Amino acid sequence: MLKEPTAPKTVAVQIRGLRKVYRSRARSVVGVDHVDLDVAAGELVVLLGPSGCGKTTLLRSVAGLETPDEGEISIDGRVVFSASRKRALPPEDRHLGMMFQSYALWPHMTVFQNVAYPLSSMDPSLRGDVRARVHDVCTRLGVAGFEERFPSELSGGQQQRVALARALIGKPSVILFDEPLSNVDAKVRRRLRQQLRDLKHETNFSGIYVTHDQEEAMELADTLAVMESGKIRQLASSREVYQRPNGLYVAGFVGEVNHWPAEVVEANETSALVRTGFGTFRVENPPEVLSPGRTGTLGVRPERVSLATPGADAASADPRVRGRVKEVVFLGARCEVRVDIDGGGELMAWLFEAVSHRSPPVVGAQIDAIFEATSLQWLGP
Amino acid sequence: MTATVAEPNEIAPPRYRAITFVVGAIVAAVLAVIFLPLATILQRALLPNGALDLSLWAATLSQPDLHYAIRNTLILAVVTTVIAVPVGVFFAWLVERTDARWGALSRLLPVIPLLLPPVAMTIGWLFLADPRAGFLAAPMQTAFRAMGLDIDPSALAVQSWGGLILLYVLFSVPHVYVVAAAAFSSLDPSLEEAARIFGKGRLKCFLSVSMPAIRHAIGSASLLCIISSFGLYSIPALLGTAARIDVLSVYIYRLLNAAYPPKIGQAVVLGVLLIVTIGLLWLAQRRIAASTGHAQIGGMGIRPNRIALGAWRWPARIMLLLYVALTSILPLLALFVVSLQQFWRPLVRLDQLSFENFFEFWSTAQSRAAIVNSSLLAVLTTTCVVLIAGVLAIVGKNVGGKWEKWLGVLTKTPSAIPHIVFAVGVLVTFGFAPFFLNGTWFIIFLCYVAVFLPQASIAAEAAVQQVGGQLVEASRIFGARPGRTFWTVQLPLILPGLAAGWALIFTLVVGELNAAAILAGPRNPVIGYLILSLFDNGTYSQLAALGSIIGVVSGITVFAALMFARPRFSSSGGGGGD
Ligand SMILES: Nc1ncnc2c1ncn2[C@@H]1O[C@H](COP(=O)(O)OP(=O)(O)OP(=O)(O)O)[C@@H](O)[C@H]1O
Ligand SMILES: [Mg+2]
Repeated sequence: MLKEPTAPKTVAVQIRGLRKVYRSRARSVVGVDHVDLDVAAGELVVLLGPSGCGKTTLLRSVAGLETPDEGEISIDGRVVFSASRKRALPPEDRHLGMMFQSYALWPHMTVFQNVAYPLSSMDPSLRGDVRARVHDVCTRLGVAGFEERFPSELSGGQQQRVALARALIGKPSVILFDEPLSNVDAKVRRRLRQQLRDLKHETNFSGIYVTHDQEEAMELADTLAVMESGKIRQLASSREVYQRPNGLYVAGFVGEVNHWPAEVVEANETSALVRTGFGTFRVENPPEVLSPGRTGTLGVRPERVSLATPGADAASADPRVRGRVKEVVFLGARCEVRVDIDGGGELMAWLFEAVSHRSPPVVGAQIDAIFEATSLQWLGP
Repeated sequence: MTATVAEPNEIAPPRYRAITFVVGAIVAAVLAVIFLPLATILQRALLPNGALDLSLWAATLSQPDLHYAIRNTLILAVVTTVIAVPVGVFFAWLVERTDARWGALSRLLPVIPLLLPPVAMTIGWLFLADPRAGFLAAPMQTAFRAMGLDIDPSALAVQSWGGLILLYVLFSVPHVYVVAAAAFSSLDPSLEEAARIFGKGRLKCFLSVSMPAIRHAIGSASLLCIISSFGLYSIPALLGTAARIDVLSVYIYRLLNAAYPPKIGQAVVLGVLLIVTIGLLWLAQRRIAASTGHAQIGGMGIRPNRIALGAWRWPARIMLLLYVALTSILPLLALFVVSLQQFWRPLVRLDQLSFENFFEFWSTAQSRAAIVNSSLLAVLTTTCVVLIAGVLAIVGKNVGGKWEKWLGVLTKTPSAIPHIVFAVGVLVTFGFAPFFLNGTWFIIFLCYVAVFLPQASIAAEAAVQQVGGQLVEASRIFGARPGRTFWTVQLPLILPGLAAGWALIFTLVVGELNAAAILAGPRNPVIGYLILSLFDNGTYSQLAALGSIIGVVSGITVFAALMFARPRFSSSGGGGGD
């Protein structure tokens, strides 16, 4: 639909059937399980998932720091790894940039030496004016003037920027990021994220970015890959993943979601009628074609639920359920209201206006929860 | 062009050849230097005339003197261990787990004796506690007399069981301390806190909670202690002989140097027996140490709450200081004083002190040669052995897995062999046909490289372990080949650790006595050889001058190496891998 490619894009990274198993005498752990992934030139793909789901393993396989068991990886059209052809280029021949979680700045080199390192590994004809290039990239990242300091003489955020400068300076085909912002405090993190986005606009690098912070993932991703135990569960734009998750796991990972067990009563190509313990609702555009009798989960995001006094706005066609207010929590920008639904189940609603002008609901009061049109989602089994 | 996957233009050339070759050569050389002597010893002991022949064993083992020496060795090893282990563990507990420590300095205090060659400490103690001329003899006697005890001066002689045990213990405590301190620093402090909350006293807490919690380390340290006592030579050679307390190492030396013709066969048989015994102990020790190692990984990053000692704080500190005084300061002082005297005498008269001994010492060709040889040998051996250990540690880390483990075992093998036995092996292997190296400095070099390899590789492995893997990976990602990665990242970062190891081994080589006793002679004198001949001749002032030189040179070298090694960049953690 929207994502129909208009022009043929060049592929920066292509991963096919990648599998990596860590074997030890006691047992073997599957790090990455048959993953396919494409990164187009100029695209930033964010790998999002819980701890231990294989994000780092996938990234390190692309970098050449880990040798997968099966599959193929190519970078800029060059096969850098192929299990069937027994080919594995070492990391230094893959022409990458990388930002490590622990920065991995070399403590015995100055900032200048750190940033210039990728250039000095290069063929002299490609190097250009090293001093000017280092100065340029340092200025762009706001760490100019620190060139003669050692990394231990910089703050965490400054070290991060030096690490980014080092990753950018060689104009690599792809930049890999392994949770680069997880060691700095929330404020610095937000600023660096913004800076990263600006840089992306300016230099249009391609990259793979690993994180387990869903806000960070949504902000940075051109394409978001949500992973679970070595597999990619959904691969789409942030918006699509958030609004049309293909399952409860993905929905829950990229945000909060109300969900109840449900059964399909009636279905056609574009919509389905599902029954829950407290009523029957219509779901538009389910992620798969459903058939009556299927059981699964019905979900709705809390910000798409509004509350009204019982019977008010009766003219609205939006589906509604009746309940009793259980708890009201003030959270600054929003108000979180928990409702016990008549007929069983609980529901959470985020009210944004309740904070400013309207008085919040009263605990114990009867209330109607209204689901915005098309907000109800089928979240699979 | 379509942007689908294409063949790489060039196939990665095999670029690890040169490195593989160098490493292969090093490993082969190390294997030869370690295992050729061992093989020769075994062959000489079991197949003296080309066939299995046990008559040599019968002749060797039937000597009554040998039984006496074995008995003495066992007594010394057991008593030393029984005393040194609790003391070393207690010191470690004081420094690591209580508020007795003050600053980073107190961590170094207990290991200061490691930096003074044991032979210098022994000579110093000889000057301190000789019954007639020792500096402590007269004051001690007076003190006892004041208490109403009339004690014969010879009862306080350092040349006695008591003196031997004292020095063995002083020598062993730092080794125990190092192992125990590592275990304590990674021990979960909540164990002790819980015990304190439940109202246990401080000492009880130490005995019933802290000690059992590091029992693996204690077991490992005990075995280390027994092993090192078996192999000790300098202390029994200088003190035991006068007290007529012979031990195995001295007995082996006698077989080679006091008998004519030298009883090489018997020395070799005893060597094999010692290797087997110590080898078994060593395997047990490694097994225990391995289980300690696991405990350490889990405990990283723990900031212990130190136990407050209250009124006991200063007594504890004074005990630590006293220990340093006994092992280092007093012996060194005694050495200095005697070296400035014309003759060794217990009364010090300031107007008679002069540097005469040093000038005289320097004017003897033999002494000069010994000092020059030893210095060159020490610099050369230490540098070689540290470089070899460094390369092997880096290679081990890079290849990982089984290879890393086997390299580790290979480099530690010599620690199962007493220096004196290994020197015998080197002598019979390289001394005569076809190598004819007897009487050269090179044969001493070969022996030292092998016997100091374990210490060097322990230091190197620790240093390599500290360089976070990501620092090396980052270098490869940013386009550096393994060679460049080694020179620009790995080497500079592990250099400080290697330098510390270098300093430690340098002091050991300078004061080395065992191998020198077997391998050095008038044609290739080294300091160890000189010490033994000065001692035999009774020229104590010269001996003191030599001891002082060793002490001062070791001190300066260690200090310089540590200053050089202190990294500019490590003001705070920050940048590096963890
Ligand atoms: N060297 C290794 N040996 C054995 N198992 C490993 C190794 N490295 C990773 N694993 C296992 O592989 C799985 C994937 O690990 P990976 O490091 O890729 O997770 P991750 O998604 O990066 O997690 P995190 O968010 O915590 O960094 C985990 O189950 C992990 O235990
Ligand atoms: Mg990870």
